[in-house]
Amino acid sequence: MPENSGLPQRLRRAALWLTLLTLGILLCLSVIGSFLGSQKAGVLFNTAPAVFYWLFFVLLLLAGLLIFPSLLRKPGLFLIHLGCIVVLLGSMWSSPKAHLLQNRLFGTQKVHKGVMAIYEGSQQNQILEKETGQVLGMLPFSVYLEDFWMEYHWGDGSLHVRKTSDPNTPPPSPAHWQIPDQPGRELLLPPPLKKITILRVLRNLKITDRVTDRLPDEVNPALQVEIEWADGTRKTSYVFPADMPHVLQIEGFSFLYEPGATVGIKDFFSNVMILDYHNFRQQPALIEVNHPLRYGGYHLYQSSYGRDTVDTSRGREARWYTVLDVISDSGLRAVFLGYFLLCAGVFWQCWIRHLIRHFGQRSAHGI
Amino acid sequence: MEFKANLQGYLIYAAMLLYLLAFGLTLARRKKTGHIFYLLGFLVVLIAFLYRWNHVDHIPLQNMFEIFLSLGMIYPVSLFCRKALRVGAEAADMLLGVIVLFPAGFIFNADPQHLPPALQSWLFAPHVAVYVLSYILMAKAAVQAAAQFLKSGGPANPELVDYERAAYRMVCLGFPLLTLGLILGSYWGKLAWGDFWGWDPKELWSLVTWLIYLIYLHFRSMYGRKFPRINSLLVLLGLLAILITLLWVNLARIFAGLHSYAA
Repeated sequence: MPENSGLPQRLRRAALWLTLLTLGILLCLSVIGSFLGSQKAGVLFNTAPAVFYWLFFVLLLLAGLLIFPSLLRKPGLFLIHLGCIVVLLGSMWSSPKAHLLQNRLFGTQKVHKGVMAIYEGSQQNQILEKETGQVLGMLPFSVYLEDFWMEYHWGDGSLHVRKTSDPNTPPPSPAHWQIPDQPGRELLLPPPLKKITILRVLRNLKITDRVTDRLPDEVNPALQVEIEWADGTRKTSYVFPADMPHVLQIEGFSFLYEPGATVGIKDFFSNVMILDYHNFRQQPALIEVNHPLRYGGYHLYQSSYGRDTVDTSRGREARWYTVLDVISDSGLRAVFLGYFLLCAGVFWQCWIRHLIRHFGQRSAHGI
Repeated sequence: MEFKANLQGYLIYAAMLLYLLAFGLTLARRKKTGHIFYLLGFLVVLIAFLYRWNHVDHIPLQNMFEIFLSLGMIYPVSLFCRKALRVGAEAADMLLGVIVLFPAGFIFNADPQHLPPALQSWLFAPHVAVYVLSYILMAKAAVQAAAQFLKSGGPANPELVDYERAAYRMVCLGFPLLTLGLILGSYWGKLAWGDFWGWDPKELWSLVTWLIYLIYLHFRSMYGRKFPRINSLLVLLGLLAILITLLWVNLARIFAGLHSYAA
């Protein structure tokens, strides 16, 4: 059906103006929301009038697909409008109000959003309200925290090499050399040695050799180095700071590591085990920032951490705990599907169809 | 205002000088020489960008200094728009290059920063890079819209399209990138913070920007070129929203939110 026949032109013009008005309202509300802050803006966009607005928006988009045949004929425009409908419906389905509705309609007990705090060596399935600590519900599985740790950004440190025969020579001196603690850095040494190469910078060397930084009380920084003799013999060893009991001494040289100070947290890690008693399953998982865990209809995010003294069978002990954000995944697939449709539509409409036409014309002209 | 007396600063000042010389030569109708200086200016900004990358050990798109430094690499966009879209105004692009490099050279702090945990994601580079590119394109669209407002019609060069059509082409080129940036940001927000939309001021102003261009595209599909001044006004409003999103939201304390680290 061509757009200049069928429905009166005036109706289509009115629908377009209504679309502009709807977009304009969203624009104004967004500007107002930006001054309110994210929390109040979230409340504003979830009020009853806002719910009616979102529903009206979806209906307007659906009506647009019926009124304007070009929206069905042109794949780009169709995908854009369909994408917006799917995003809006998915977003509404993922909202707190929709969760209440889903629980009432389907008899589920899904919690929209909350947090859980778990101490190392214990399990938890209670979801709490972030601000008040009130219990919101239970996860359909438990989370056991095996280990929590952080990694840090470090300032520059250095490897010091001294002649053992003159250990108190203050730097700089011919008998003292130093290089930054960067993997791959080399220092040439006089015979019988040839050179020392830094292989790895370990912030907290353990026997298991896993880097687990637990400042301030559990730090064991070290450098893994390779020492080469003038005759070509090589040996891998570890260099420790001066306050450690072991000082590496070889062929009249002593090696010391001066680590840099921490300059901010690099990442947080929670090593957990999912205990799904209903399905008789156990699943290990590592949760870190930007890498949430998805299980049983929820996403678990690394949110915060802390250290507290707790009563144990061995008396009172200081233990790390992790704080995980627990967020329902209802509606999420629809939102991401809508994003894909919207993006594909916009690129098709604005870029791809023009490129196809351009290269089609060039090939038609034999260029 | 601070003078950066280091290699990074000198590279920025050299690029600004080259862009200014290119601008002056182009205005003086010595376009070929001006173009050579424009290219040289771009190469110097590119070196400054790569130097910064090596210095901070991650793609330098974290803070305002790095964003404005990357905005200064406008030359390839200029060249593409002229060759592929027949949209001119290289002289304005040269001036734009100077304008965006000025805050990088004299205003924003260039101290290197470690990436906070939330920014250590594969989405960091594409999300910000796509936005930077779309902002350059929309700034070029605004230049064409402003020219339409002031002069109407089109440039003297018959090879180039008129200002209104040029602004439309630029918006059509930039809008998909603006959309992709918004969607990548939303997807990243879900991975990092748990919400695909957190009603954060930066998110809301990004939405406002997107909505303005969406309104422009709807209005232009309704009336075509019947009301060129309204079309141009909407494109200029879009740039204003970009400036608010990029500068005001990051720098003003009234907009405290999850994106505050960008300041």
